[in-house]
Order: sequence, then structure tokens, then C-alpha cells
Amino acid sequence: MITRERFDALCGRLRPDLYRFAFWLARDRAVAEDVVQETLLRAWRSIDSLDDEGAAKPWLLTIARREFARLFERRRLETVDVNALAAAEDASLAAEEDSQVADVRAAILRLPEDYREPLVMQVLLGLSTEEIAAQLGLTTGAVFTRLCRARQRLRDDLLAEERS
Amino acid sequence: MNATRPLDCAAVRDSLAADPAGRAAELDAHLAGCAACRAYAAEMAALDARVLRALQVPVPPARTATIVALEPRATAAPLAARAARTRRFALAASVAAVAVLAGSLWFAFPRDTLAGDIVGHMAEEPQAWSAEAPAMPASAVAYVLARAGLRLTDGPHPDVTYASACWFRGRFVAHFAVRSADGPVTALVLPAEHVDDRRPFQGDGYRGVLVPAPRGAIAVLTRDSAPATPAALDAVAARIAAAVRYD
Repeated sequence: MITRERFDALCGRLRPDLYRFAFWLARDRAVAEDVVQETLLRAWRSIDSLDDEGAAKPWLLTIARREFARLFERRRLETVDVNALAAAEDASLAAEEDSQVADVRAAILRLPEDYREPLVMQVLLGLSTEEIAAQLGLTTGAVFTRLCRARQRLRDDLLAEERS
Repeated sequence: MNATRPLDCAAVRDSLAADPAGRAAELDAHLAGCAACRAYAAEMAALDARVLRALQVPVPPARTATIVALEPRATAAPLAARAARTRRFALAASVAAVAVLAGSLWFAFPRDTLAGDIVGHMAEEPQAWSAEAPAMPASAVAYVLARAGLRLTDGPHPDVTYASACWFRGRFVAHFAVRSADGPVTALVLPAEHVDDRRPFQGDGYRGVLVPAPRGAIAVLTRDSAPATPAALDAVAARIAAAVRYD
């Protein structure tokens, strides 16, 4: 059984990844923080269902995706313009980092969610194609296609940005 | 033994775009003899390095020092149990409606729905009765209040042993368990619900009181079998109201 101290240590280790995953899913810092908080609370409530600490990351990701869907559903009526939100995040992130990083972030923000989510899972979280497929309920072939298109789109987008 | 068909450039580039770090034997064989695809592989690897750096956005500090400080663990009641309780409460409310006519209890529509929802919510949060749990840090109480759009005052606040931001009637509300001299009671701070005056209610093994707050209402409940008197419930409601900033 995982003790409170072990759970806290586990969360401390995985929280940055979880926050970043939630941020790229939501494209909004406040929503990302809410998702993380709710995810960790829910995880603690059902900690008995985690048999192996090594499986904590995909387990937390599953909970986070569910929490995001739940929050998104609750806030759907309040969301006026998702693109405006993304643009605001884009501007705030751009102010923090050098322009090259900002360009890549803006390009990632512009990716369709279907492409962005598996890309974040692979590059940021280090999940395999099979693990991503399990998370998203897709075949490995479908994940392969989405990852391929995500990078091709990013590449084209960044090349166009550099040329302009 | 199956012969492996050599990959063409398009298939190699798709594979590299899907996973620049992946290396199958046939991919390596193609790259060894194709300078254009080697250049593409290098381009994809460089792109991934930029993407990884971009994805690593700054992470804000955690809202609470420890996650588990926010809530003691317990097994949540199954939804079916909640539905059953709600149905039982509905029945109890019907019986109680007769009592309302007799002038003893309050369950008139639509506010009886509020009382019913409050009691129904209790089934979802059995951990809200954990009198044995240690007192929650003020930061956790403040966080839960913030989720309900409220703030914690700097003054003394009740001895909270459980705090949770709960989704209730279409918005977040603050749900606390509070230690009182008469045993544990549980309270919901409901800034969006309105009651004109103090309203006692009873149903499905619980009894409680709804009182007006500076904004909305506060519900305080205890189990039917618990010793907490109506005056004790009122006192807890008053302590909570004094600890919350509604501006």
C-alpha cells in the first residue's frame, strides 16, 4: 500500500509533467492548475487501484484526461473564444522566453488537439506509440499517423514563419 | 523466412516524422544509403529538440504544500448508493412535506430540492465525517473556499478536519467537516443558494439547518443519531460565516 508520504513524493516528481500535459491540453494556465489539483485529489482517493508505482505516470494521465474533459464540459458555456485564449497564452509565453521558443510554442498551440495531445505524450512524457494508443483509445496505426502529421505540420508552419 | 521489402523514401520520412528517435533495422538500412533521408532524419531530430524545449513551460508552485494535506483518503460511495439515498430522501421529503403542513419542518418546493441535494451529496463524501482526521492547514481551507469564489479571513476559523471543493448544483461549493463539542458535523458553504431565514431540515438519516449567509447560504448537518443539538449546528454555521470573506 502506498503511504501518504510516498504519494506526496510521487506527486512531487510527476507534478511538473502533469501540469505541462494539462497546460498543452487546455492551453490555459488556470485550467491546467485546476486539472492537476483535481487529478491529484482524485488519485489519492483511489490510490488503492494503483498496484505498481512504476505505472503511476500513465495512471495519473488517465485521471488527468478525465478531469480535463469534466472541467471542459463544466466550463463550455463560459468559454467565449478558445482562439483568443490561446493567443493570450501565446503572448504571455512569448514574453518569457526567446523568440525561437515562442515561435515553436505558438505553432504547437495552433495544432489541432488530435495532433497536439499525442505529440505532447511522446515528446514531453516519453510515452511509446503503444502507450499513447492505450491512453487515447486508438490503434497504433492511428497514433503513428497523427504523430507524423503533427510534425509535418509543425515543420511547415515553422518554415513558413522563418520565410516571412 | 520472410524477405523484408526495402522501405521507400516516403515511408522512411513518415516513420521519422512519427518517431524521430525510433530505429528499426530496415530504417537504418535505408538511411545508410540515402543522404536525403539522413538529412530529413537530422531535421526531425532537431525539430524534436526544439519541441521538447517549447513544451517545458514554467510550472507554478503547488497550491498546497502537500497534496494529501488537502483531504483524508476514503473510499467514495458508489453512485448507485447515492441514487438510492436520493430516492430514499425524496420519499422522506414527501413525508416531511406533510410535516411542513403541520408547521414543524421545512421542505416546500423548490427549497426542499436544495435540502434533498445537500443530503444526497453526503453519500458522495463519507470522508466528510472523519472526526479522527487531523485539522486541515488554513491554506487548504483557503484553497477550497477560493474554488467557491470566497476567501478565508485572517481571524480564527473552525477546526476543519476535511475540506473539499465539490461540484454541487452547477458550481463549486466548499464542503467542510468541522469538529464540534458535540461530535463531527459537516457544512456546505453555498454562495449561490438563497434562503430567507433559518430553515431546519431532516431526511435519510440526517438533520440539519440552512441559514442565510452574507452571500448565499450555509448548510450544517449531522447524523440523526449524533448528539449535536440545533443550537450547536447554528453555532458552527455562525463560526463558518465569520471565517469567510464574501467580498
